[in-house]
Amino acid sequence: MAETTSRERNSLKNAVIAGWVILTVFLGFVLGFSAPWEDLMGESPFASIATIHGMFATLGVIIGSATGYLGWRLLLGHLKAYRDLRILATISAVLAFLAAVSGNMIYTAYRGEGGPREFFKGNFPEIHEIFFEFKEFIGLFPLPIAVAATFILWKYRDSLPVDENIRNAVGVMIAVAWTVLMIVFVLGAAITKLMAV
Amino acid sequence: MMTEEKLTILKKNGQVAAAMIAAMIGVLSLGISHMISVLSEDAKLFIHEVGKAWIPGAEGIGPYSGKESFMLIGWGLSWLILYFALRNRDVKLSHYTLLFMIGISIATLLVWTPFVHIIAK
Repeated sequence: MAETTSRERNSLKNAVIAGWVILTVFLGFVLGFSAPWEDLMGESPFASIATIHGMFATLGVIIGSATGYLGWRLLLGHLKAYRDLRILATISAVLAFLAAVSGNMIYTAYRGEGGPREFFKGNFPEIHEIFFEFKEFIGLFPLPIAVAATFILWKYRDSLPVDENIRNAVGVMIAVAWTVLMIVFVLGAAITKLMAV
Repeated sequence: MMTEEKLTILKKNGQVAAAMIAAMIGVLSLGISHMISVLSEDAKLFIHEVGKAWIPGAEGIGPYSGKESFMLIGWGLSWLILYFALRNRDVKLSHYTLLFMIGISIATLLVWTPFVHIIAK
């Protein structure tokens, strides 16, 4: 009886997941092929890479925030989901790398003739000299920090539940990386609002 | 027996300190190279040359490419050295965590333009 109930529950769960995937794929195709994406992206030759950079940054903030929450639980000594933290930290490190690489590609457009840097230097020099420069540099901070935290989370996975000092070290690193990530994201969004590449 | 041995190895927390401090040295290298490039035009050109030596599109992103290079060199090299120096050692991790926070704070100041201008004066 209990086995039947469990089987029914699993089959219902599978049906819900399958339905969700089918609907998502269907809507994705309809929206993907019928929307005027070129108009949304703009005419800049850097529109595609700018979109990709924005997507990595947004994903980085989403995954980074989930990692940050688990890192906070780790710091408090309440974390049970060590495996989830390891996976999320790994993804965060990969996203930090991808955001940095795509950021490099878009930076050419930012510095190029008639680009945002020229505009800001001529109209709002502080935007470039203070906010953008700060963003471009601290935007690289999460890469080494996230890689180091990920390394420790995998290497010391057996020690973490019993060693408070290692938990504190990793918790602090994740907290720093998350804080930087949020500052970079907010500054990036604000600067793009003033002038995009 | 195997588990005990494994736990003994993992109790040596030197690799935690090595990874953490190497990350800090990486971002400090970035901050220091930025500061140096502001203070000296020759150093700025040299830093750009370092970036141009290997980063694709470095011409377009200027000395930033060299500063990234110094971050990666500082990070990678220090991790290698610290890894071999600390891997079998047990260290006072709270001190290293504090050092990490101080280092990151200094690196943040080194890339904050109003602070850089104060130093450059």
